[in-house]
Amino acid sequence: MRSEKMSAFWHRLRYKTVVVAEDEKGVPTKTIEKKIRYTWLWALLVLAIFAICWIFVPIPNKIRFDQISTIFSQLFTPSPWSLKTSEGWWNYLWFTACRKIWETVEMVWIATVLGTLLAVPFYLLASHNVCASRPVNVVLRVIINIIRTIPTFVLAIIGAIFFGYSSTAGIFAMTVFTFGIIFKLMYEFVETQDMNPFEVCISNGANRLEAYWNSLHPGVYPMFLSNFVYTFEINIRASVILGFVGAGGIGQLLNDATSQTNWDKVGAILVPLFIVVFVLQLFSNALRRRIAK
Amino acid sequence: MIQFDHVSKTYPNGYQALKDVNLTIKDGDFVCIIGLSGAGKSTLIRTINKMHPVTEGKLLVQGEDISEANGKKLRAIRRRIGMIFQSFNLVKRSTVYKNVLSGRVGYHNTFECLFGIYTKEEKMLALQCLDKLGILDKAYVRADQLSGGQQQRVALARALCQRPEIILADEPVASLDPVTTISVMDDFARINKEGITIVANMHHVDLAVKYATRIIGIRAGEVVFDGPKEAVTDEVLMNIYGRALKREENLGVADAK
Amino acid sequence: MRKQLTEEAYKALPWYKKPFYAILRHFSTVEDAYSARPKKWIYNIAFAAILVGTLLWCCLDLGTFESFRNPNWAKLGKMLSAFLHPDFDYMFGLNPNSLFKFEDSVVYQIIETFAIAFIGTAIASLLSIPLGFLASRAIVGKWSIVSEVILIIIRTVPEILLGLVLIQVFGFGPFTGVAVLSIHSIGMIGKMYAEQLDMISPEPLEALDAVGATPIARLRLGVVPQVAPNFLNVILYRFDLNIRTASLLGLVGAGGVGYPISIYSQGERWPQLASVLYGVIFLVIAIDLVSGAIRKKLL
Repeated sequence: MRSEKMSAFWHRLRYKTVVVAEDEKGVPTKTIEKKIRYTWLWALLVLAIFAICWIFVPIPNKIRFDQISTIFSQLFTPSPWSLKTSEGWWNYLWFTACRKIWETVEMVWIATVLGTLLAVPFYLLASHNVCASRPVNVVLRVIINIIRTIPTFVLAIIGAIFFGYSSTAGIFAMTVFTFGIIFKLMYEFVETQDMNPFEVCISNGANRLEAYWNSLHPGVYPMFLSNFVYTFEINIRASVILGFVGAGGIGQLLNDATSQTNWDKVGAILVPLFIVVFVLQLFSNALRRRIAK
Repeated sequence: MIQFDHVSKTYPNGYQALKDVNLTIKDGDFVCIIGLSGAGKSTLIRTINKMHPVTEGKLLVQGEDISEANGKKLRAIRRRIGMIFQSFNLVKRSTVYKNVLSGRVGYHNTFECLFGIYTKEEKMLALQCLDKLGILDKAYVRADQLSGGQQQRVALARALCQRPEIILADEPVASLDPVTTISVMDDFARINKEGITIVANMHHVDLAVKYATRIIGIRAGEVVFDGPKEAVTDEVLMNIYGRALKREENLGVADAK
Repeated sequence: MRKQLTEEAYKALPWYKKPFYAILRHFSTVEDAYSARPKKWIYNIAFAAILVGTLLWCCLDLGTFESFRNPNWAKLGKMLSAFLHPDFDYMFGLNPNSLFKFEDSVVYQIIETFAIAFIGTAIASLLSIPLGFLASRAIVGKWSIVSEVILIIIRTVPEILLGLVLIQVFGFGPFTGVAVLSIHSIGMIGKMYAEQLDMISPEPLEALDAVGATPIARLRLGVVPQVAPNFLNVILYRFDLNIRTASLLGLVGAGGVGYPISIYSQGERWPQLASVLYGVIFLVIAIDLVSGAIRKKLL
């Protein structure tokens, strides 16, 4: 009885009856149920949260917009107290900044390849198509999703504690991150594949791994490569941050330069960084478009 | 030889697909199963290699009880049975050659499969199967670039590459045009003469009657007719399909030749 | 695609075209076909060798193997054991006897991080509507390239750098974080808006044109209903990511959880670090669940 009353209440809350036709006395003869849209309520909720959030974010008293122009003017001109000459600026760009960027690319390469290869058996075990036992699927997904919630820089700090403040800590952090993201992207993709060729291989007498390799893998492989390139791109951007915690790479240089407010060094670092990220984006867009064809 | 012994199959939601089936299919037979859609034809075919496990009864395939077989034993039985589907079910992104070779996975262990290590005889056998069906030229072409009839032939070559004793065909010609249908059915007949048992599902009654040596009729999960093709009369068909078939409904092209 | 060739046509080809048609010609015998099979294994082994070679070279170049010589198990052990006894006073800041007031507690920091991400995403999603519309080729045509370039430039700047620059302008504190997140998210959300707008189907728009709708009506009745759920999807996805970025910005002092993390990890105060990490994990899981539920309801 109680559940009927409750569901009647919910029904009245979510639907309203619209009168379509009436007879002469005003008694409705035909009605339809229209779902009530509470969009305005949700919008009000969002606005309320927005307003509450401002309590926690105090507006600063003095805002110095002139600093922007100061900084920008200093970015590409060598300043007398750090790099001193134009030649010094170019040398810094070439020998220090580019070298560090190359190291960053190497770090990211190792981390992405290792993380991807490590994730392969796990995402196979977590897809319901290939590994039919639900407990294994669910346990793997839950554990690895929890590992994924740890931010990358925290992993870098843990790595720095363990390996010392070197690039290995950054590689460790990015490997775990790559592992998590490739795992998630790939198991979602494998589950959407067409299973008919898989059934055929099973009926030929293959076990599930052989059947996967012969039937599903040719379709999964392009997406695998595409995800690899996507993760590589994300990792390059993340490696800048890792340098800040001391885990090696271009971020370290940036950290040093900004803590001493040597904006000319910052400018010298920015140039190769921009070029690398930009070229990488173009390259990865083209590659992914070609792979998806 | 395939032997059904009081076989029933009930799905978990209570629907009973096969009711007390008793059949014996001897070696070298060309058996066609006919009946309405949903009568249990596909289920019957798929229980033979345990794609759908049976819930009651015993099913003996080549003398071995397949309803009890699991794991390695099941795989050993399955690699002697080839299967062909209505929608070809090839691996679209692989070449025809690789598709045909993948019929041999049952004969190798996992390591050899992963690295694609097949013996030279098997590779020659794959190409010979393709040659027998007349599509050797397309051996290294990607599988989704072939026409429907050619894809079904590739599927047939894949089944042949296993050197099977039995071939199961689940509506093999349903999505092909009339001319290709005839040539594929001729291929089936030729394979049958070489000594391979063929169990096929058919929609088209006159195709079934023309090519098969034995006809099995299924209605609502029960076998209502089991006999040589000469014994198929209009009355038998009325029993299977529930009413008399009009001449236009014989959409097969056995008369077209 | 290349066509199949007959034997004579294949023999008549010039030498530089022959390899391309080697597998597309007519095979007269099975042995002929067998000898023409593409031997993929050579390429696979070469690829694997190059891959392993580059990995080893990079490892040697960076000195990875030296870091494995004496890993610091002791410190790691201490840190992991601290996870079992986190500092609850610091977590909730409600104990009047401890030195942590509520404003310093983990709960406050977490709420602050959430606030930074929320405000930043909200502002960015509104401000990137015009930029996104201007950057989509379907709406504006050839001039979309201007807006696209602006968005690309905004996107390529690393957030940390933007944070460092804006700290000079706005000072330390969460407001800088809001500013950085807004600007950076405009780049990302604007690009995603443009992508969604490029993917709309033109049929409803044609139908609206056929009944004589004004451009505004066309936009509102044709474009908006198609892209609105995708826009919401984009905003939710970006919000997830912005929570992580907001905690990161704390590293440079722009407010949020990153600042305590960096201080406590460098000061090796493991119980406090553990409490902060628990807070972060809780926040991310909570936001994941909520946004998953919203997505399921919406789509």
